[in-house]
Amino acid sequence: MDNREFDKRVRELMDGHLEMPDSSLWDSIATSLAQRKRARVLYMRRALIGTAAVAASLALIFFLDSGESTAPSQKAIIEKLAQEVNPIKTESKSEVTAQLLPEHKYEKTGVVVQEGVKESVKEPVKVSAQESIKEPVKVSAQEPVKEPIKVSTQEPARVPVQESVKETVKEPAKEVAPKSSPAKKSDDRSYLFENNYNRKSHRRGSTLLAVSTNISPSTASNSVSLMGLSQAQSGYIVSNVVSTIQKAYVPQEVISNTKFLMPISLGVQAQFPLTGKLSVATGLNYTLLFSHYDAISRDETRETQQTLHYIGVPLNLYYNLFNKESLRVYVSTGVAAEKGLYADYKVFESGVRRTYGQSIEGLQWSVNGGFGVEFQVNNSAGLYFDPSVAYYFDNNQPLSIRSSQPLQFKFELGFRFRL
Amino acid sequence: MITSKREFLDEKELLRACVKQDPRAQRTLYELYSPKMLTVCIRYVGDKERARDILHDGFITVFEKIESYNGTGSFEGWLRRIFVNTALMSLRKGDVLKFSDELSDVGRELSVESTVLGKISSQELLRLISQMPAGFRAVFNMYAIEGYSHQEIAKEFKISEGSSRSQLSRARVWLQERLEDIR
Repeated sequence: MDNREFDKRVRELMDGHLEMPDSSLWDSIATSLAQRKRARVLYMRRALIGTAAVAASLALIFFLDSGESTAPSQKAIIEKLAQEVNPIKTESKSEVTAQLLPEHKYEKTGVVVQEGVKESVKEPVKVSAQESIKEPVKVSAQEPVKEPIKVSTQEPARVPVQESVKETVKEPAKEVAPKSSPAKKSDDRSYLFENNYNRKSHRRGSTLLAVSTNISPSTASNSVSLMGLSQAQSGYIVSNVVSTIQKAYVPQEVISNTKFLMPISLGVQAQFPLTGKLSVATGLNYTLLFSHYDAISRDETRETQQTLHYIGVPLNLYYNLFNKESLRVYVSTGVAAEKGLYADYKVFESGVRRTYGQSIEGLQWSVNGGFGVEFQVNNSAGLYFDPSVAYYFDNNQPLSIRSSQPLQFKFELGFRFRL
Repeated sequence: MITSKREFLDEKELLRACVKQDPRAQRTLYELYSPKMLTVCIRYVGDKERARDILHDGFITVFEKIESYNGTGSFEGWLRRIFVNTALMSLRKGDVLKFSDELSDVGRELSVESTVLGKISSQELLRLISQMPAGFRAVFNMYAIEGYSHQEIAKEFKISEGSSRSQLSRARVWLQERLEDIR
């Protein structure tokens, strides 16, 4: 027999051979497929929640930050400083301004431009601001302009500037915001630092509203034997698993490879100042706890996915350690009470999915402590990061990461808005 | 056991349902092809327990990549390639593929009688192939049964074509000796 013939005979024999796999293999494949599918769904869900939270926070920041500014514009301040640099030789003012503002365009700034006294104003100056101008701007060499210029938001007004004298103008006309007082030279500089001043005053006494997400990294997993109470490793765990996964479904079987996924919380919190450094905060948060149980019995493999929904009220004390410029560092401690809303179960058995749920009795109490850092994003919002440690008491709640690993590290990330 | 097969009129419909991740279709596909694919896995890894793991991983890959089957060529061929690749990957991970140097007796004709293979059962042949040294087994399976060329085998294992021919020749001699013993 030649090689080709030999190979052909072997191929024919092997092609006709069927080796039957054992019956449990399909269950194992179905379980793996379900796990992968759920992992993808979970990932997508978390990504969507995260994106939505970030988008909502950014939108809120921009919304809060879009209010009227009470300070004069930066360009007006620079104009003012330019005037101070050389108050007598006003002819050079425009040069100084040009140096400070190389792309200066007067029409867009809302600043009334004072030309040098030896030059006649050839074109009217365009002004746009809050109210319509009722009177033309009068420029006098004797005294600075005392009347605020009234301008309109509706449409830019063309204001003819009256040249009354041929002397040096000491004070240029400028846009005056509704709430600001007429400028003195020394007062003008303070505008530059007004934002910082406002931030500090906000920190000292204002109420804060926080929107946050909270994750608790976890690698915890355990194996729980349900072969019988006498063989149980822990009566607590067994009783909870039996109450969590309905007793009817798990008469006598081994639960292994129990996995807990990372808990996720979303919340809002209001923080009220007590003293300069101490504040108290309370609010509402919503927490999801995910767990997987692989139940392996003599005849079948069953996988249960448990999602616990909790709503909680935290009460925390914050103490500022450092509070300067755009940074605040603080420590916190507190207590939280959480009410289980609903336990949601998805059971995968031989590729078939069943869902059911049950209510959760009692309250979950916890204490926590940690520190935090807050960065001021703008005048009304700050981004904060609070790593903390929390301890969850044994309150006869369904089996979760909290009952398996009562001491947990939490990472809270969110925005605080000043009201 | 295969009760759900009737739910799908033909292979196309079955594959469409699998693309939609219909569990019933997936199970039907598994029941249709798992015996054949388990044989493939055993042929490559030589161990039923390990072959079972490869069958598991292979079907996960099949169900996750099934939309990439574009209908050109037989579905069974596509399926078989996935299981062969999964088995080869497992062998590489286990570092069991040892290839000897080129030999001078490449191309030697076998002296085994044609009737010997007619008397042996497929189960017994599978057992013999499973007992082959891993390097022989891999090349013999790929060339003699799957129909790969020496060029493809050399590329797959990063060996020379001569080395592939040498492995095949040795594998045939090894198998012939065992068949002679049976006779």
